[in-house]
Amino acid sequence: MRRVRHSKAFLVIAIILLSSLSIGVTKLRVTTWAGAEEAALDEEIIAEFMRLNPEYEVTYEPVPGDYYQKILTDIGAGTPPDVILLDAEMIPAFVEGNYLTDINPFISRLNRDGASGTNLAEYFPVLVDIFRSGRSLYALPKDTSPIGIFYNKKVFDELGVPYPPQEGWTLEEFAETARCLSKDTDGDGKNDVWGFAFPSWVGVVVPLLWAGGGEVFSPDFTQTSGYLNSDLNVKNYEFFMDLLSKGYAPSPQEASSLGGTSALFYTGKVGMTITGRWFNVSIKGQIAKGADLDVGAAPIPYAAPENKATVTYASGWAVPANAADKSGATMLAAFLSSEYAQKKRCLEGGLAISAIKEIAELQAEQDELDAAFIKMLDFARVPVGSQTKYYRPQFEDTWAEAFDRMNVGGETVRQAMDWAAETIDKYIEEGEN
Amino acid sequence: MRRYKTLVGLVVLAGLLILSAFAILNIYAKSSFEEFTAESEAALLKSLKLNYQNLTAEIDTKLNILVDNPGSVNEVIQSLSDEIEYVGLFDYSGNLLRDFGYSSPASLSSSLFFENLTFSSGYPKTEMTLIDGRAYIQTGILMLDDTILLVVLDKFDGITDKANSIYERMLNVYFGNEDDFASLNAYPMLDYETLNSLFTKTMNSQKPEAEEISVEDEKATLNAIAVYDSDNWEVIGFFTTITESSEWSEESRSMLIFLWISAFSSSVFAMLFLYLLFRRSQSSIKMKRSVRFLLGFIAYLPAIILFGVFAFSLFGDSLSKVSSAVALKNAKGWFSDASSLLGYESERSLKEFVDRSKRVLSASFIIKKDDNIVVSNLSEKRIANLEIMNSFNQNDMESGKAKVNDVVHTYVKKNIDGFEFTILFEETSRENSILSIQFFSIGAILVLLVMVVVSTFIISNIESQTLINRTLIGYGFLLPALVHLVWWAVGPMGFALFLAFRRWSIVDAAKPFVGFGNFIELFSDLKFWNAMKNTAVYSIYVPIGMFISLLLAIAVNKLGKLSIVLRVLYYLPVVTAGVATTIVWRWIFNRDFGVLNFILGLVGIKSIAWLESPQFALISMMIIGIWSAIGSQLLIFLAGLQGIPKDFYDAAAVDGASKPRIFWKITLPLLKPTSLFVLVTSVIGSFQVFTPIYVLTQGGPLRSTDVVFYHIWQSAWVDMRMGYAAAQSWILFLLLAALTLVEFKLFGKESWQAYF
Repeated sequence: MRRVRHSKAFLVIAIILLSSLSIGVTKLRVTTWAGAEEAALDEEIIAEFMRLNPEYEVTYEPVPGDYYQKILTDIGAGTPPDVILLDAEMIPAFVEGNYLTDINPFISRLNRDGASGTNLAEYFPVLVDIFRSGRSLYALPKDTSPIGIFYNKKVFDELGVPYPPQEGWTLEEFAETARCLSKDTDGDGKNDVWGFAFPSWVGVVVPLLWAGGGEVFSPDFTQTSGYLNSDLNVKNYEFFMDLLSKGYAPSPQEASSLGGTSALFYTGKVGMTITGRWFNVSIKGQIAKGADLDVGAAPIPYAAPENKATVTYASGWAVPANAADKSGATMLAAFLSSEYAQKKRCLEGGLAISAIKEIAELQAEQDELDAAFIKMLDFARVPVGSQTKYYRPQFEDTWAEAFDRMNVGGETVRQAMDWAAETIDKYIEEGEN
Repeated sequence: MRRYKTLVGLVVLAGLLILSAFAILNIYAKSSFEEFTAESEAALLKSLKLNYQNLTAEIDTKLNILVDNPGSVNEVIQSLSDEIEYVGLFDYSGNLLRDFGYSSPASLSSSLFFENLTFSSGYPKTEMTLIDGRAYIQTGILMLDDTILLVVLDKFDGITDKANSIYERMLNVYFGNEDDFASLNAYPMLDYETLNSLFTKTMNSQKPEAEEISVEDEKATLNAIAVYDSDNWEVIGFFTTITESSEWSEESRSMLIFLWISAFSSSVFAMLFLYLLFRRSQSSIKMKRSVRFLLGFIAYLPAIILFGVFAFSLFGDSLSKVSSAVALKNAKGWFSDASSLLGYESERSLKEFVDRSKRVLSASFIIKKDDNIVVSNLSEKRIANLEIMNSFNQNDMESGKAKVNDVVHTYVKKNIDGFEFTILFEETSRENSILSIQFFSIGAILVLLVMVVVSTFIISNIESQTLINRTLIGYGFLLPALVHLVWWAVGPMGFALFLAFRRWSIVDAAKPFVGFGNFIELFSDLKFWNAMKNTAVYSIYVPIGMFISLLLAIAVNKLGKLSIVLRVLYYLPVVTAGVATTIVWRWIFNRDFGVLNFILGLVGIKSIAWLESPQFALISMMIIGIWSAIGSQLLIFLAGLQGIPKDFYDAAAVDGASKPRIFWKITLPLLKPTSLFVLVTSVIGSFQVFTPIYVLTQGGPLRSTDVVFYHIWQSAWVDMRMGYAAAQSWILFLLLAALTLVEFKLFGKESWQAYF
């Protein structure tokens, strides 16, 4: 009896020892900026990856704050994570600094071996283009969010205003809708219900300028003068500023003191808001909390049908240049973008529009809002920030300051945009010298 | 007897310290040197890969005529005829249509290449291939009528020859992928495992990799780099070279010999000299302290000098020899490609040539004609500011060191057919190796300087053993605090000073010395001075806050028991998380629903946009500043008030002094030391304000709340310019030091003497 017990004990010890040796296991680290909800989904995806590839042990390291500082320090210190999540806007600077692996060669081999997520034809072409530079590929798209208009159907219904058309609409139609939605309910001579939330954020302004027929950078991304401050753009933004001065939108100060544009939208104080698909997550959250909301989505307005455009923002899984096992890291990056991951994150989690066409179609069937946004991908352009390192932070910061100049500094649109173009061009010149 | 024991201990310690410092330096330098030579060897393989890619590009160009002119097949074949091994015209499914009189080799190229051609967009594709145990270059094009022209050229020898003649290396090519490959030359016989692991390594890192092997019982290094197909998609083979370990061992050996000789000679010198010093101090007890110190210093001087010489001159020279030799070889390889390019094409494709070169070599290139830049991957401004540090001529080439944007490069220049070709290799890895050796040496020298002090102290007090023991024990107790201070305060400050003179980004390997560049930029940076101005305005809250705190302290002081509760209440902001309270302030400052505007509204003041208007944003920050500072200021004032002897007040009361008079004549003057302390720490604190700015305004609107600390943080962590941020920090430090000095002067001697 005693002998049996002994041998059992030995067996247990042997098993513990063997498992602690974990022979032939490669360790990979993946870092994202995920918050709690997203992290839970990521962990499931990673568990599945480890189940399918027992030769890898993946450590998940979400960094919700100061993300880029953390990973840049890691890369600089020579201890990079094997897979990192990158905004498209960070790609140019990372590529220029040689911080990223060109994953093209690895993808082709993994694809031949049938690894999930490595068939580039599965993804929306625009999303693969975001992460391409010449013949190189620097990341695989996690998911995407185009910019469009959310409208509160109830507000429209109450006032008998027709919904924005799904296939697109002109600036004049937009202005007319905004006018019809605005009213002064307490009779103090100032509107307190508004047509739309004023678009001041650069991420929304750029697609609006595109749809107005303008550009913000020269085609080779070496200058903004003559582009950002072109007559077309100035006229276009003046158009919006004019709607603001007519009281069809709350001023940014008003909006922020009333609790922000999201709150105004939920409470029916503004009828439309121009933002990214990510807003759908908040809307669903509000509905889940019991808010009586009925929301539709439509493309942003254009000057003429041939100008129809928007942008789609994306982030992607990339492999730092000094990662040790690049092939394994690429495999993990691909798995994090694969059908399995996209289903978890987009179909079940509803976090964004899936980067994989097939799954996006399933999403469209599930959710009317998502269907509208997926349609926008047909004419969505890659973000400027994925093409030039001068977008983040220089272009973004300069625009924010330019807007302050118009908004609180008393400058005209023309003056502020001229200043912005000149400032950004100076950054480019300094950066290139 | 005991004093001899102590002396022997000291002398042995000094000797061992010097020896071990040199030993560590030795190991460090050796590994740095080996790493550097390995890296340089890798660069040679990159050059070989570039030669190969230039060759395939050349053939592509020759076939390009067929893109617009499918009829000119015969002419193209004619132009290539010297090297043609086989030509065939195939249909889409691979049936031979024409053979142009060449007979097909037993095994033709891989089917993958053919497949890639059929799916191509009609541009030529060229890559290396292995046919019947020999390396060839195969090229092909999908033509408009869906036929496929396939040409096999006997041109690969050019690459092998170049490896021999220019790089002095024997090139071995392995065809296939890392798991399944066939060798072109069988020498030397290497086992599958070695090759497989090396190939996997280079595939994974996408750069050249090396492995130690032994050839005929001699140690050697095997280097490999992966070669991809014409689509840059699949690996089709590996270039490998073998470096005999003797290549740079001469250089390495002489370096190490120097170190060993220095180690022994300087430690023996130090030991002997310390002994002599001991003898001397025994004989002349009245030796001056400074003389004794000087003699102690001389004992360690040889070691210090040798450390300096090695780190600041010899080591760099050794690396320089390697890097110049390698740069010269790489440049020769590039020039030979350049001249063959000019042979078949004019300047039209020079841009592609430079792009390709940049991709493979990651160097910089300038091609000029008649002093005009034809093409370069450097901007015109960079080229104009290129600063040549030294140069010498070698045969028909000019080479030397140059600075591009402050970063040291090795450049090689040559004139070919009326064009001036310049190639510049960044010397960052060499500079950084040298820098790390220098850091170590400075550390070692500092330790030796400490030893100077210790040695002179021990020798001059060798008679009183107790003093030595007590001193050592005393410093032993101080040690933890000292280490902490050096590691977390003095060290970082020193490093910041070092950074301030460099362009230092965490992620950029090049960290060039820029002299006073950062400071010069700083003085013309209006944004920085705007931040300074904002900070100065912001710090006005300090006297206001102090005044309020003082009044409150006096009030609280009078309250007896209740004062305990009030003290806690006033101190709460200090112990509450800054971010949390700041968010509460966001609501207080809300324009339409904020408490502050509501209260102001009661007295008829119109709503103020506290955070959104440039006029009020900074004032809002000052209000938060006062509120959060009151707690600690009040507590200190309270302590100060309680420290004033009651007798003064009693005496004044007896004399019939009025309350205000007592305050002005007794309380305030006696609180002077306390006030000085509060003022100095609060002013410094006000210059370091960060949290409310970061949370509420991010420096806006229109930079009205961009304070200097926030600005420094942005430079360092948003713009990633550590050097510039360090320069700003030092300026801030100097300004604060000056300001504090003024404050001390203002309060007079008696205020700060209270603290001594």
